[in-house]
Amino acid sequence: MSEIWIISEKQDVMQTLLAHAKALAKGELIVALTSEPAAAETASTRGADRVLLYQGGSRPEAYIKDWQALARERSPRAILLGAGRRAKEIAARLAAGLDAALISDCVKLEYKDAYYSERYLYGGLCLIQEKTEKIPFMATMAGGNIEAPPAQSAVPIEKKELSETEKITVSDFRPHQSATNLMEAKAIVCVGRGLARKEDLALAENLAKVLSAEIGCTRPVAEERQWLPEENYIGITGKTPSPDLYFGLGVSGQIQHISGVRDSKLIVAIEKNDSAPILKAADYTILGDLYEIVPQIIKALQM
Amino acid sequence: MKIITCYKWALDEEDIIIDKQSREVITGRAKYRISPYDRNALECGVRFAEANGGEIVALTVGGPETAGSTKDVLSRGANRAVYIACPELAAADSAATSRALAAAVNKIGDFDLIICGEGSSDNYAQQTGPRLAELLGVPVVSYVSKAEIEGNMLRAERKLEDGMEAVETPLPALITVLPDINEARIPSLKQILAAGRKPVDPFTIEDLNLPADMIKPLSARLSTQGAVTDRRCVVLQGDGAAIELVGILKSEGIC
Repeated sequence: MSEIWIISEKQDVMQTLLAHAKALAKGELIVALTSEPAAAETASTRGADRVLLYQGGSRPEAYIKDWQALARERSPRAILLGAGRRAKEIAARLAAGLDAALISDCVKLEYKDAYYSERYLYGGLCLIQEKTEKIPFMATMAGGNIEAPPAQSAVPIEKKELSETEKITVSDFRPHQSATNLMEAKAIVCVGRGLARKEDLALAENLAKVLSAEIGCTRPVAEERQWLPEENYIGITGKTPSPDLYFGLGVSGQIQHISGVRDSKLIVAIEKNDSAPILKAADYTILGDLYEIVPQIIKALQM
Repeated sequence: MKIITCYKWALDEEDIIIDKQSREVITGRAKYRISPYDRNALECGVRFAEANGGEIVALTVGGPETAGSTKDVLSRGANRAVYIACPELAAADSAATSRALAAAVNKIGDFDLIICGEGSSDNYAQQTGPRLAELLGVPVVSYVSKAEIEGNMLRAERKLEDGMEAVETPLPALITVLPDINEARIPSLKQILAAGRKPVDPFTIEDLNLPADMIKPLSARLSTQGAVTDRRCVVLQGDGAAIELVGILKSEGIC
Protein backbone atom coordinates (compact mmCIF):
# COMPACT_ATOMS: atom_id res chain seq x y z
CA MET A 1 0.00 0.00 0.00
CA SER A 2 1.37 3.43 -0.86
CA GLU A 3 2.36 5.88 1.83
CA ILE A 4 2.45 9.56 2.72
CA TRP A 5 5.26 10.48 5.10
CA ILE A 6 5.34 13.21 7.69
CA ILE A 7 8.56 14.10 9.50
CA SER A 8 8.98 16.29 12.57
CA GLU A 9 10.59 16.29 16.00
CA LYS A 10 8.04 18.82 17.28
CA GLN A 11 4.61 17.90 18.66
CA ASP A 12 2.74 20.93 17.33
CA VAL A 13 4.25 20.55 13.86
CA MET A 14 3.50 16.82 13.89
CA GLN A 15 -0.14 17.60 14.61
CA THR A 16 -0.37 20.11 11.76
CA LEU A 17 1.35 17.70 9.37
CA LEU A 18 -1.10 14.94 10.30
CA ALA A 19 -3.95 17.25 9.34
CA HIS A 20 -2.28 18.11 6.03
CA ALA A 21 -1.51 14.47 5.27
CA LYS A 22 -5.12 13.43 6.00
CA ALA A 23 -6.40 16.13 3.66
CA LEU A 24 -4.01 14.93 0.96
CA ALA A 25 -4.43 11.17 1.33
CA LYS A 26 -6.40 9.21 -1.23
CA GLY A 27 -6.17 5.92 0.58
CA GLU A 28 -2.43 6.08 1.35
CA LEU A 29 -1.12 5.06 4.76
CA ILE A 30 0.19 7.96 6.84
CA VAL A 31 3.63 7.16 8.22
CA ALA A 32 5.15 9.48 10.83
CA LEU A 33 8.93 9.60 11.26
CA THR A 34 10.44 11.35 14.25
CA SER A 35 13.38 11.43 16.63
CA GLU A 36 11.41 12.63 19.67
CA PRO A 37 9.26 10.35 21.86
CA ALA A 38 6.74 13.15 22.53
CA ALA A 39 6.18 13.78 18.81
CA ALA A 40 5.89 10.01 18.27
CA GLU A 41 3.19 9.92 20.96
CA THR A 42 1.30 12.74 19.21
CA ALA A 43 1.47 10.93 15.88
CA SER A 44 0.41 7.65 17.47
CA THR A 45 -2.72 9.09 19.09
CA ARG A 46 -3.75 11.54 16.35
CA GLY A 47 -4.25 9.33 13.37
CA ALA A 48 -0.93 8.15 11.92
CA ASP A 49 -1.11 4.58 10.60
CA ARG A 50 2.52 3.84 11.47
CA VAL A 51 4.95 5.67 13.74
CA LEU A 52 8.71 5.21 13.48
CA LEU A 53 10.77 6.61 16.34
CA TYR A 54 14.47 6.97 15.55
CA GLN A 55 17.01 7.05 18.36
CA GLY A 56 20.77 7.11 18.77
CA GLY A 57 21.59 10.36 16.95
CA SER A 58 22.44 13.68 18.57
CA ARG A 59 19.92 15.68 16.49
CA PRO A 60 17.13 15.13 13.93
CA GLU A 61 19.47 15.81 10.99
CA ALA A 62 21.42 12.67 11.94
CA TYR A 63 18.74 10.40 10.44
CA ILE A 64 18.67 11.86 6.93
CA LYS A 65 20.66 8.94 5.49
CA ASP A 66 18.35 6.39 7.14
CA TRP A 67 15.26 8.20 5.86
CA GLN A 68 16.68 8.42 2.33
CA ALA A 69 17.37 4.68 2.36
CA LEU A 70 13.89 3.89 3.68
CA ALA A 71 12.28 6.20 1.11
CA ARG A 72 14.07 4.34 -1.69
CA GLU A 73 12.70 1.10 -0.31
CA ARG A 74 9.11 2.23 0.43
CA SER A 75 8.65 4.85 -2.35
CA PRO A 76 6.27 7.19 -0.47
CA ARG A 77 4.10 9.31 -2.76
CA ALA A 78 4.56 12.47 -0.70
CA ILE A 79 6.79 13.63 2.16
CA LEU A 80 5.71 16.62 4.27
CA LEU A 81 7.77 18.52 6.84
CA GLY A 82 7.38 21.72 8.86
CA ALA A 83 8.88 25.04 7.78
CA GLY A 84 11.32 25.54 10.65
CA ARG A 85 15.04 25.84 9.93
CA ARG A 86 15.97 22.26 10.88
CA ALA A 87 13.05 20.91 8.87
CA LYS A 88 14.06 23.01 5.86
CA GLU A 89 17.58 21.57 5.88
CA ILE A 90 16.33 18.01 6.35
CA ALA A 91 13.80 18.44 3.55
CA ALA A 92 16.31 19.89 1.08
CA ARG A 93 18.87 17.15 1.74
CA LEU A 94 16.27 14.40 1.51
CA ALA A 95 14.98 15.91 -1.72
CA ALA A 96 18.48 16.10 -3.23
CA GLY A 97 19.12 12.45 -2.37
CA LEU A 98 15.75 11.33 -3.72
CA ASP A 99 15.84 13.64 -6.73
CA ALA A 100 12.50 15.04 -5.61
CA ALA A 101 10.67 18.31 -6.16
CA LEU A 102 10.35 20.24 -2.91
CA ILE A 103 7.95 23.14 -2.42
CA SER A 104 9.24 25.40 0.37
CA ASP A 105 6.83 27.24 2.67
CA CYS A 106 3.84 25.76 0.89
CA VAL A 107 0.66 27.70 1.76
CA LYS A 108 -1.86 25.57 -0.14
CA LEU A 109 -1.70 21.96 -1.20
CA GLU A 110 -4.10 19.72 -3.02
CA TYR A 111 -3.99 16.41 -4.85
CA LYS A 112 -6.06 15.92 -8.00
CA ASP A 113 -4.35 14.24 -10.94
CA ALA A 114 -1.05 15.60 -9.56
CA TYR A 115 0.12 17.66 -6.58
CA TYR A 116 -1.00 21.30 -6.86
CA SER A 117 0.76 23.75 -4.56
CA GLU A 118 0.98 27.47 -3.87
CA ARG A 119 3.80 29.54 -2.39
CA TYR A 120 4.93 33.16 -2.25
CA LEU A 121 7.78 34.68 -4.24
CA TYR A 122 9.72 37.94 -3.96
CA GLY A 123 9.22 38.30 -0.24
CA GLY A 124 5.46 37.86 -0.53
CA LEU A 125 4.89 40.13 -3.51
CA CYS A 126 3.42 37.37 -5.64
CA LEU A 127 1.94 33.94 -5.38
CA ILE A 128 2.83 31.05 -7.68
CA GLN A 129 0.86 27.93 -8.39
CA GLU A 130 2.75 24.83 -9.38
CA LYS A 131 1.87 21.33 -10.48
CA THR A 132 4.12 18.40 -9.60
CA GLU A 133 3.77 14.96 -11.13
CA LYS A 134 7.13 13.56 -10.04
CA ILE A 135 7.03 11.16 -7.09
CA PRO A 136 7.89 11.57 -4.27
CA PHE A 137 6.39 15.03 -4.01
CA MET A 138 7.87 16.96 -1.10
CA ALA A 139 6.83 20.14 0.72
CA THR A 140 7.66 22.11 3.83
CA MET A 141 4.33 23.40 5.08
CA ALA A 142 4.13 27.05 6.18
CA GLY A 143 2.37 27.58 9.48
CA GLY A 144 -1.28 28.45 9.12
CA ASN A 145 -4.64 27.61 10.44
CA ILE A 146 -5.44 23.98 10.01
CA GLU A 147 -7.50 22.16 12.59
CA ALA A 148 -5.73 19.48 14.62
CA PRO A 149 -7.00 15.98 13.88
CA PRO A 150 -9.11 14.35 16.63
CA ALA A 151 -7.62 11.88 19.09
CA GLN A 152 -7.79 8.23 18.02
CA SER A 153 -6.82 4.91 19.52
CA ALA A 154 -3.04 4.72 19.65
CA VAL A 155 -0.99 2.77 17.14
CA PRO A 156 2.23 1.14 18.37
CA ILE A 157 5.44 3.15 18.19
CA GLU A 158 8.14 1.23 16.31
CA LYS A 159 11.69 1.94 17.49
CA LYS A 160 14.53 2.32 15.00
CA GLU A 161 18.25 2.78 15.59
CA LEU A 162 20.55 5.24 13.85
CA SER A 163 22.69 3.31 11.37
CA GLU A 164 25.59 5.68 10.76
CA THR A 165 26.84 8.72 12.74
CA GLU A 166 27.18 11.99 10.84
CA LYS A 167 30.46 13.87 10.38
CA ILE A 168 29.11 16.91 12.20
CA THR A 169 29.31 16.90 15.99
CA VAL A 170 27.05 19.05 18.16
CA SER A 171 29.12 20.65 20.90
CA ASP A 172 26.44 22.76 22.58
CA PHE A 173 22.80 23.81 22.42
CA ARG A 174 21.63 26.95 24.15
CA PRO A 175 17.83 27.42 24.18
CA HIS A 176 16.58 30.97 23.57
CA GLN A 177 15.40 32.72 26.70
CA SER A 178 12.59 34.47 24.94
CA ALA A 179 9.74 36.15 26.72
CA THR A 180 7.89 37.16 23.58
CA ASN A 181 4.55 35.72 22.76
CA LEU A 182 4.11 37.28 19.32
CA MET A 183 2.35 34.38 17.68
CA GLU A 184 -0.52 34.38 20.17
CA ALA A 185 -0.73 38.17 20.61
CA LYS A 186 -4.04 39.95 19.95
CA ALA A 187 -2.18 43.20 19.35
CA ILE A 188 1.38 43.94 18.27
CA VAL A 189 3.30 47.21 18.37
CA CYS A 190 6.05 46.87 15.81
CA VAL A 191 9.21 48.98 15.82
CA GLY A 192 10.94 49.93 12.57
CA ARG A 193 14.01 51.91 11.61
CA GLY A 194 12.10 55.14 12.01
CA LEU A 195 12.78 54.93 15.73
CA ALA A 196 15.89 57.04 16.26
CA ARG A 197 17.46 55.65 19.43
CA LYS A 198 17.35 52.43 21.40
CA GLU A 199 16.10 54.38 24.46
CA ASP A 200 13.02 55.29 22.44
CA LEU A 201 11.86 51.69 22.71
CA ALA A 202 10.30 52.95 25.96
CA LEU A 203 7.83 54.91 23.83
CA ALA A 204 6.82 51.75 21.98
CA GLU A 205 6.57 49.87 25.26
CA ASN A 206 4.26 52.52 26.71
CA LEU A 207 1.98 52.26 23.72
CA ALA A 208 2.12 48.45 23.93
CA LYS A 209 1.11 48.64 27.58
CA VAL A 210 -2.09 50.60 26.95
CA LEU A 211 -2.97 48.37 24.00
CA SER A 212 -2.07 45.16 25.89
CA ALA A 213 0.22 44.45 22.96
CA GLU A 214 3.41 42.50 22.45
CA ILE A 215 6.46 44.23 20.94
CA GLY A 216 7.74 43.14 17.55
CA CYS A 217 10.24 44.68 15.18
CA THR A 218 11.52 44.62 11.62
CA ARG A 219 14.50 42.49 10.60
CA PRO A 220 17.08 45.35 10.58
CA VAL A 221 16.05 46.43 14.09
CA ALA A 222 16.84 42.92 15.36
CA GLU A 223 19.79 42.00 13.18
CA GLU A 224 21.63 45.20 12.30
CA ARG A 225 20.83 47.35 15.33
CA GLN A 226 20.28 44.42 17.69
CA TRP A 227 17.85 46.43 19.78
CA LEU A 228 15.51 43.48 20.25
CA PRO A 229 16.09 39.72 20.20
CA GLU A 230 15.81 38.01 16.84
CA GLU A 231 12.75 36.10 18.07
CA ASN A 232 10.91 39.42 17.93
CA TYR A 233 11.34 40.18 14.29
CA ILE A 234 8.36 39.91 11.99
CA GLY A 235 8.44 39.16 8.30
CA ILE A 236 8.27 36.41 5.76
CA THR A 237 11.74 35.27 6.87
CA GLY A 238 10.85 35.55 10.58
CA LYS A 239 7.67 35.41 12.63
CA THR A 240 4.39 35.60 10.74
CA PRO A 241 1.73 36.39 13.37
CA SER A 242 -1.91 37.23 12.68
CA PRO A 243 -3.06 39.65 15.41
CA ASP A 244 -6.29 41.67 15.48
CA LEU A 245 -4.18 44.83 15.50
CA TYR A 246 -0.75 45.45 14.02
CA PHE A 247 0.58 48.90 14.94
CA GLY A 248 3.73 49.96 13.09
CA LEU A 249 5.98 52.71 14.46
CA GLY A 250 8.47 54.03 11.94
CA VAL A 251 8.00 50.93 9.80
CA SER A 252 8.49 51.87 6.15
CA GLY A 253 6.68 48.75 4.95
CA GLN A 254 9.13 46.66 2.93
CA ILE A 255 7.30 43.78 1.29
CA GLN A 256 9.29 41.11 3.19
CA HIS A 257 8.07 42.60 6.46
CA ILE A 258 4.49 43.34 5.49
CA SER A 259 4.01 39.84 4.06
CA GLY A 260 4.65 38.54 7.55
CA VAL A 261 1.54 40.30 8.90
CA ARG A 262 -0.73 39.92 5.91
CA ASP A 263 -3.27 38.01 8.03
CA SER A 264 -3.65 40.80 10.62
CA LYS A 265 -7.22 42.07 10.96
CA LEU A 266 -6.27 45.73 11.09
CA ILE A 267 -2.94 47.32 10.14
CA VAL A 268 -2.24 50.84 11.38
CA ALA A 269 0.98 52.81 11.23
CA ILE A 270 2.69 56.07 12.02
CA GLU A 271 5.15 57.10 9.34
CA LYS A 272 6.66 60.44 8.38
CA ASN A 273 7.58 59.67 4.76
CA ASP A 274 4.55 60.11 2.49
CA SER A 275 6.03 57.85 -0.19
CA ALA A 276 6.73 54.91 2.14
CA PRO A 277 5.16 51.62 0.99
CA ILE A 278 3.39 51.22 4.35
CA LEU A 279 0.81 53.81 3.20
CA LYS A 280 -0.41 51.30 0.62
CA ALA A 281 -0.16 48.32 2.95
CA ALA A 282 -1.97 49.72 6.01
CA ASP A 283 -5.63 50.32 6.73
CA TYR A 284 -4.83 53.59 8.50
CA THR A 285 -1.59 55.55 8.49
CA ILE A 286 -0.98 58.72 10.43
CA LEU A 287 1.46 60.78 8.41
CA GLY A 288 3.74 62.56 10.85
CA ASP A 289 6.33 62.45 13.60
CA LEU A 290 5.86 59.41 15.80
CA TYR A 291 7.52 61.19 18.73
CA GLU A 292 4.65 63.70 18.76
CA ILE A 293 1.84 61.35 17.83
CA VAL A 294 2.48 58.31 20.05
CA PRO A 295 2.08 60.30 23.33
CA GLN A 296 -1.16 61.78 21.96
CA ILE A 297 -2.47 58.32 21.16
CA ILE A 298 -1.52 56.98 24.58
CA LYS A 299 -3.34 59.91 26.17
CA ALA A 300 -6.43 59.41 24.02
CA LEU A 301 -6.46 55.67 24.77
CA GLN A 302 -6.34 56.37 28.51
CA MET A 303 -9.30 58.75 28.41
CA MET B 1 42.60 27.46 1.40
CA LYS B 2 40.13 27.51 -1.44
CA ILE B 3 36.70 28.95 -0.81
CA ILE B 4 33.81 28.91 -3.24
CA THR B 5 31.04 31.40 -2.55
CA CYS B 6 27.81 30.89 -4.47
CA TYR B 7 25.52 33.75 -5.37
CA LYS B 8 22.34 34.40 -7.30
CA TRP B 9 21.86 37.23 -9.78
CA ALA B 10 18.25 38.04 -8.92
CA LEU B 11 15.67 40.68 -9.80
CA ASP B 12 15.39 43.51 -7.28
CA GLU B 13 11.83 43.05 -6.00
CA GLU B 14 11.56 46.71 -5.00
CA ASP B 15 11.07 47.62 -8.64
CA ILE B 16 8.57 44.89 -9.45
CA ILE B 17 5.10 46.32 -9.99
CA ILE B 18 1.82 44.51 -9.42
CA ASP B 19 -1.09 45.64 -11.55
CA LYS B 20 -3.91 46.10 -9.06
CA GLN B 21 -6.66 45.14 -11.53
CA SER B 22 -5.22 42.15 -13.34
CA ARG B 23 -2.75 41.12 -10.58
CA GLU B 24 -0.15 40.85 -13.33
CA VAL B 25 3.46 40.88 -12.15
CA ILE B 26 5.37 43.49 -14.14
CA THR B 27 9.14 43.03 -13.98
CA GLY B 28 10.06 45.36 -16.87
CA ARG B 29 11.56 48.06 -14.66
CA ALA B 30 13.32 45.76 -12.23
CA LYS B 31 17.07 45.31 -12.45
CA TYR B 32 19.20 42.33 -11.57
CA ARG B 33 21.54 42.53 -8.61
CA ILE B 34 23.31 40.09 -6.31
CA SER B 35 20.77 38.57 -3.93
CA PRO B 36 21.38 40.50 -0.66
CA TYR B 37 21.88 37.36 1.45
CA ASP B 38 24.72 36.35 -0.87
CA ARG B 39 26.57 39.59 -0.14
CA ASN B 40 27.00 38.27 3.40
CA ALA B 41 28.12 34.88 2.07
CA LEU B 42 30.80 36.53 -0.07
CA GLU B 43 31.85 38.80 2.81
CA CYS B 44 32.17 35.73 5.03
CA GLY B 45 34.51 34.16 2.47
CA VAL B 46 36.57 37.34 2.16
CA ARG B 47 37.03 37.49 5.94
CA PHE B 48 38.14 33.85 6.10
CA ALA B 49 40.64 34.49 3.31
CA GLU B 50 41.92 37.63 5.08
CA ALA B 51 42.43 35.62 8.28
CA ASN B 52 43.72 32.34 6.88
CA GLY B 53 44.99 33.23 3.41
CA GLY B 54 43.52 31.68 0.30
CA GLU B 55 41.56 32.13 -2.84
CA ILE B 56 37.87 32.95 -3.30
CA VAL B 57 35.97 31.78 -6.33
CA ALA B 58 32.55 33.40 -6.76
CA LEU B 59 30.20 31.02 -8.56
CA THR B 60 26.76 31.49 -10.04
CA VAL B 61 24.40 29.82 -12.51
CA GLY B 62 21.36 31.35 -14.18
CA GLY B 63 19.82 32.84 -17.29
CA PRO B 64 21.80 34.81 -19.91
CA GLU B 65 21.73 38.01 -17.78
CA THR B 66 23.92 36.25 -15.20
CA ALA B 67 26.95 36.88 -17.42
CA GLY B 68 26.76 40.55 -16.41
CA SER B 69 27.19 39.82 -12.72
CA THR B 70 30.91 39.16 -12.45
CA LYS B 71 32.19 42.70 -11.99
CA ASP B 72 29.97 43.15 -8.95
CA VAL B 73 31.23 40.05 -7.14
CA LEU B 74 34.84 40.63 -8.12
CA SER B 75 34.67 44.14 -6.64
CA ARG B 76 33.39 42.61 -3.39
CA GLY B 77 36.62 40.67 -2.91
CA ALA B 78 36.37 37.45 -4.94
CA ASN B 79 39.61 36.55 -6.76
CA ARG B 80 37.94 34.82 -9.66
CA ALA B 81 34.41 34.54 -11.00
CA VAL B 82 32.89 31.44 -12.60
CA TYR B 83 29.44 31.35 -14.12
CA ILE B 84 27.09 29.33 -16.28
CA ALA B 85 24.66 31.63 -18.09
CA CYS B 86 22.19 30.11 -20.52
CA PRO B 87 18.48 30.23 -21.37
CA GLU B 88 18.02 26.65 -20.11
CA LEU B 89 18.85 27.85 -16.59
CA ALA B 90 16.63 30.95 -16.68
CA ALA B 91 13.71 29.14 -15.00
CA ALA B 92 15.86 26.84 -12.86
CA ASP B 93 14.40 25.65 -9.56
CA SER B 94 16.55 24.73 -6.56
CA ALA B 95 17.05 21.18 -7.85
CA ALA B 96 18.32 22.35 -11.24
CA THR B 97 20.41 25.14 -9.71
CA SER B 98 22.09 22.80 -7.25
CA ARG B 99 22.85 20.26 -9.97
CA ALA B 100 24.41 22.90 -12.21
CA LEU B 101 26.39 24.30 -9.27
CA ALA B 102 27.59 20.81 -8.32
CA ALA B 103 28.83 20.20 -11.86
CA ALA B 104 30.65 23.55 -11.84
CA VAL B 105 32.19 22.87 -8.41
CA ASN B 106 33.48 19.52 -9.66
CA LYS B 107 35.12 21.27 -12.59
CA ILE B 108 36.63 23.98 -10.37
CA GLY B 109 38.18 21.13 -8.38
CA ASP B 110 39.36 20.74 -4.79
CA PHE B 111 37.82 23.14 -2.31
CA ASP B 112 37.90 23.56 1.45
CA LEU B 113 34.68 25.44 1.99
CA ILE B 114 31.58 26.45 0.05
CA ILE B 115 29.53 29.36 1.37
CA CYS B 116 25.95 30.11 0.30
CA GLY B 117 23.39 32.60 1.56
CA GLU B 118 20.56 31.07 3.61
CA GLY B 119 18.17 31.63 0.71
CA SER B 120 17.66 33.88 -2.31
CA SER B 121 15.71 37.13 -2.31
CA ASP B 122 13.37 35.98 -5.09
CA ASN B 123 12.54 32.33 -4.37
CA TYR B 124 13.70 32.13 -0.77
CA ALA B 125 13.24 28.36 -0.97
CA GLN B 126 16.36 27.86 1.19
CA GLN B 127 17.18 24.63 -0.61
CA THR B 128 20.15 25.27 -2.87
CA GLY B 129 22.90 25.18 -0.22
CA PRO B 130 21.82 21.95 1.52
CA ARG B 131 20.98 20.30 -1.81
CA LEU B 132 24.41 21.21 -3.20
CA ALA B 133 26.16 19.78 -0.13
CA GLU B 134 24.19 16.55 -0.45
CA LEU B 135 25.04 16.22 -4.16
CA LEU B 136 28.73 16.80 -3.40
CA GLY B 137 28.65 14.47 -0.40
CA VAL B 138 30.06 17.04 2.07
CA PRO B 139 28.70 18.02 5.51
CA VAL B 140 26.44 21.08 5.61
CA VAL B 141 25.89 23.57 8.41
CA SER B 142 22.88 25.76 7.66
CA TYR B 143 21.66 29.07 9.14
CA VAL B 144 25.09 30.00 10.45
CA SER B 145 25.41 33.23 12.42
CA LYS B 146 29.00 32.73 13.54
CA ALA B 147 31.84 30.65 12.10
CA GLU B 148 35.56 30.14 12.54
CA ILE B 149 38.14 27.88 10.96
CA GLU B 150 40.95 26.25 12.89
CA GLY B 151 43.20 23.96 10.89
CA ASN B 152 40.95 21.48 9.18
CA MET B 153 37.95 22.11 11.44
CA LEU B 154 35.07 24.53 11.09
CA ARG B 155 33.24 25.63 14.20
CA ALA B 156 29.90 27.30 13.68
CA GLU B 157 26.81 28.45 15.48
CA ARG B 158 23.44 27.81 13.89
CA LYS B 159 20.63 30.12 14.84
CA LEU B 160 17.49 27.99 15.09
CA GLU B 161 13.98 29.01 16.17
CA ASP B 162 14.35 27.58 19.66
CA GLY B 163 18.02 28.12 20.35
CA MET B 164 21.63 28.22 19.26
CA GLU B 165 23.28 25.00 18.13
CA ALA B 166 27.07 24.96 18.17
CA VAL B 167 28.63 22.40 15.83
CA GLU B 168 32.00 21.28 14.54
CA THR B 169 32.74 19.70 11.21
CA PRO B 170 35.85 18.66 9.32
CA LEU B 171 36.53 20.43 6.00
CA PRO B 172 35.64 20.28 3.17
CA ALA B 173 32.16 21.40 4.10
CA LEU B 174 29.38 23.77 3.03
CA ILE B 175 27.75 26.46 5.14
CA THR B 176 24.70 28.62 4.52
CA VAL B 177 24.91 31.94 6.34
CA LEU B 178 22.38 34.32 7.86
CA PRO B 179 22.66 38.06 7.14
CA ASP B 180 23.65 38.76 10.75
CA ILE B 181 26.93 36.85 10.37
CA ASN B 182 28.60 40.10 9.24
CA GLU B 183 28.04 43.48 7.72
CA ALA B 184 28.96 43.27 4.04
CA ARG B 185 31.36 46.07 3.08
CA ILE B 186 30.60 48.38 0.19
CA PRO B 187 33.26 48.02 -2.53
CA SER B 188 35.76 50.89 -2.72
CA LEU B 189 36.53 52.67 -5.98
CA LYS B 190 39.90 50.90 -6.05
CA GLN B 191 38.18 47.52 -5.72
CA ILE B 192 35.71 48.38 -8.45
CA LEU B 193 38.54 49.33 -10.81
CA ALA B 194 40.59 46.25 -9.91
CA ALA B 195 37.57 44.00 -10.56
CA GLY B 196 37.91 44.54 -14.31
CA ARG B 197 41.36 42.90 -14.29
CA LYS B 198 40.42 39.74 -12.38
CA PRO B 199 39.87 36.42 -14.18
CA VAL B 200 36.39 35.38 -15.28
CA ASP B 201 35.58 31.83 -16.45
CA PRO B 202 32.34 31.22 -18.28
CA PHE B 203 31.44 27.50 -18.14
CA THR B 204 28.82 26.07 -20.48
CA ILE B 205 26.38 23.25 -19.91
CA GLU B 206 28.08 21.45 -22.80
CA ASP B 207 31.49 21.73 -21.01
CA LEU B 208 29.94 20.22 -17.93
CA ASN B 209 28.01 17.47 -19.71
CA LEU B 210 24.76 18.67 -18.23
CA PRO B 211 21.88 17.25 -20.28
CA ALA B 212 18.81 19.47 -20.59
CA ASP B 213 16.60 17.19 -18.48
CA MET B 214 19.06 17.48 -15.55
CA ILE B 215 18.43 21.22 -15.33
CA LYS B 216 14.70 21.27 -16.02
CA PRO B 217 12.41 22.38 -13.15
CA LEU B 218 10.77 19.41 -11.39
CA SER B 219 7.42 21.20 -11.04
CA ALA B 220 5.44 23.02 -13.73
CA ARG B 221 4.61 26.65 -13.03
CA LEU B 222 0.91 27.19 -13.70
CA SER B 223 0.53 30.85 -12.78
CA THR B 224 2.27 33.77 -11.10
CA GLN B 225 0.01 36.45 -9.69
CA GLY B 226 0.46 39.51 -7.53
CA ALA B 227 -0.59 38.81 -3.94
CA VAL B 228 -3.69 40.83 -3.12
CA THR B 229 -3.64 43.12 -0.14
CA ASP B 230 -7.11 44.33 0.61
CA ARG B 231 -6.37 47.28 2.84
CA ARG B 232 -8.25 50.54 3.27
CA CYS B 233 -5.14 52.73 2.78
CA VAL B 234 -6.57 55.73 4.64
CA VAL B 235 -4.04 58.46 5.46
CA LEU B 236 -4.71 60.67 8.49
CA GLN B 237 -2.81 63.86 9.19
CA GLY B 238 -2.92 67.03 11.21
CA ASP B 239 -3.83 67.86 14.79
CA GLY B 240 -6.81 65.58 15.23
CA ALA B 241 -5.21 62.49 13.66
CA ALA B 242 -4.28 60.73 16.92
CA ILE B 243 -7.76 61.13 18.40
CA GLU B 244 -9.36 60.12 15.13
CA LEU B 245 -7.28 56.91 15.02
CA VAL B 246 -8.17 56.01 18.59
CA GLY B 247 -11.84 56.55 17.70
CA ILE B 248 -11.44 54.11 14.80
CA LEU B 249 -9.70 51.51 17.00
CA LYS B 250 -12.56 51.78 19.50
CA SER B 251 -15.27 51.49 16.87
CA GLU B 252 -13.48 48.41 15.48
CA GLY B 253 -13.73 46.91 18.94
CA ILE B 254 -9.96 46.61 19.23
CA CYS B 255 -9.55 48.61 22.43
